[in-house]
Amino acid sequence: MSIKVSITDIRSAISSAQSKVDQASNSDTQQRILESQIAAANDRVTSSEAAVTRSEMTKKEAEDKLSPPPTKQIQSDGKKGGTKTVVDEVEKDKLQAQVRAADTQITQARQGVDDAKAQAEALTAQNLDSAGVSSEQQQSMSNLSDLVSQLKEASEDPQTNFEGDEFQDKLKSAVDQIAVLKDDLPTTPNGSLKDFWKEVTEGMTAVQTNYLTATTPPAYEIATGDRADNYSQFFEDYQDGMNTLIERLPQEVEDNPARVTKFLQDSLTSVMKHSPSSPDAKYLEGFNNATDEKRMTDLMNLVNGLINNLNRNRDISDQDVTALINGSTSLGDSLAEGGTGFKDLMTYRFNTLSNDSATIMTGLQRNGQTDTLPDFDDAVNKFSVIANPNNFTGLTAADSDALDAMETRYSAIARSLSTGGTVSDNTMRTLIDDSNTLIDRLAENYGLAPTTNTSGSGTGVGTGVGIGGSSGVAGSSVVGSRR
Amino acid sequence: MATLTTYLQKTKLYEEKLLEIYSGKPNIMEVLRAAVAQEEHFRSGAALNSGTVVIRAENDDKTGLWMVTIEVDHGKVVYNCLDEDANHINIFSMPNDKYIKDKEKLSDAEIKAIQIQASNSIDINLKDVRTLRLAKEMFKTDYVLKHVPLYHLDSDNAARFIIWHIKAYKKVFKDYLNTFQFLWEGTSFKNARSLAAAMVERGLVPEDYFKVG
Repeated sequence: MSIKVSITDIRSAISSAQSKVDQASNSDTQQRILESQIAAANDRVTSSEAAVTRSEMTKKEAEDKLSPPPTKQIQSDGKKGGTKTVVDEVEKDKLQAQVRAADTQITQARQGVDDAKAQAEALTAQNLDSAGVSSEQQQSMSNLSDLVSQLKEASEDPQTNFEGDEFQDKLKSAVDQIAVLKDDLPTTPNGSLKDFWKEVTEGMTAVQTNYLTATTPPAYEIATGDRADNYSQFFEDYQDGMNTLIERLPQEVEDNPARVTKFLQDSLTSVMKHSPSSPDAKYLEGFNNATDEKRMTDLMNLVNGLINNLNRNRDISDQDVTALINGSTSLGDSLAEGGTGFKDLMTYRFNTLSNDSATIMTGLQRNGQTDTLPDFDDAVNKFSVIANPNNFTGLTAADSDALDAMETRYSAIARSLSTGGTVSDNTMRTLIDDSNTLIDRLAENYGLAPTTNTSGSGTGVGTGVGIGGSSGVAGSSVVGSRR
Repeated sequence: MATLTTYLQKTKLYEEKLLEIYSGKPNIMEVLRAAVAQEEHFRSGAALNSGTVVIRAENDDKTGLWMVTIEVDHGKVVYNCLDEDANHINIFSMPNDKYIKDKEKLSDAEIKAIQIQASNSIDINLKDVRTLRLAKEMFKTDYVLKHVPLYHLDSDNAARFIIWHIKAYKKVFKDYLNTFQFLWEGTSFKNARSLAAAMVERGLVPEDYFKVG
């Protein structure tokens, strides 16, 4: 790898060329003079040129008729009399004349095109001369124009080695020539100069874009199955990338490397504390791919882009570092909240639990299991007090798993009872005990105070989860207070 | 000076001026109109054997290189010129999906796979007889060529036919270019059609000026 031109140099060359485009614009007066010259040139079209009427198609038609040549029937002069076929010389001459006329037309057109090209070239050169561009400078413009074309073409070729000597030498030469011509060429408004600088600007911009694309790592993608794995791959990649940056980036930022190191370390912590291997691992099923996962991929693209720039000795801007820190903080916040879909998902889970509870209650009543009924009712009421998604922001993966296990048990018993089955008092007793244990654990972990269901409105449980209510079913209003 | 001329010729201003000057010269416009008509004639194609075979030719607006297509009910054979002299040519045959058995039971990807399996592609060089032999071998059994109902082709002659055909068209292109290329040579235009379109776009001639027929 032999990088001879930095991206900053290319940007600076483009910026120079662009500023010259602006200077060379607004050549209205010049344009008007040229237009009048063109009008005068048009007037010089000779009358003989204008008089040509035969078209090339006529020529083709005539040639077709000549091969074979036109014939006619004439009276035979032999003893047997009758007719014979001979070449119709008159018709042939006529057709040959048509061919000659068409050829003349094309010859005249050829001459006309040569004249037109010379005229257009003279007008273009005159345009540059009038702007004070010497013939040597025109030659330099020509060279640079060719070089930019070559670079653009090479940059569009997937086989090009952007960091090889051939490309780098040409790139350096182009950047150097732009720097020279930027100062040498006049700043007078002029159409040709404007076109020249515009061509250079567009060409170099395309080169820069292709160069950056070819030397930029591919966009980061969340691996298939990583979501189901609580994004363990993402966390690993992020940690690796950030450790590399912590080791190498601060030295590149001129002011206060220690401060940058500290910021990066804090950023790393703000994200990694939510990784599956951390005790604080969060329940991340509420992560939404349009918002939360995009934050992850954007952040990784930033991390990979910075590492790539370090590897290629490219400048790192303060904005890049700021974006990295902000991106990490923003993802850390998303992780702490459990993602954009967390509350909706929790609402759904509580509703399911509430419905299953109501079904179990109805089943117990129907089966006359009056011993367990009040205790189950108490447990459900206790849970209903805390069952609000807002209370569980930052739900850990472990607590979510415990809740999930409980939901599975409720669901199985509800399904059995709803289809006319039975459940033993022992099973119910265990379910009630485990429910109370879980409720206490959740209340403790999230700073909640489970009490009997007396208020409701503050917690969003409102109508008491419905188990004690007359309808027996909580319905969607149970955890819908957020709506 | 040669380089300088090249540079001046590729500037936008030069071309703008050239188009304006052309538009004021009736003899150039007449010849350009004839060239456009000829290109349109190539593009619209010729229907042979009561329309069972259609042969079309056109030159690319960006490269100026020619491409000829032979279309039959069973598919098409395309030959793409890879250089200006039409010596290097890629020949490509692709069957239509029309006669694929049980087509309605297959997915698009499966249909595509069958078409690709029955396709042939080869690069030839008209000046290298070995490449012509290879092409002949490959196209001897070509599915599409077998269904070109010209000259009662058997498979071997079908391959000969395509090579003969290329040579014949090469001559046609050469004649065409020798006659008309001077109109756009040295500009960014690659054929009469794009030159004419640029003139219409700039309002230098009426929209229907180049319409044929």
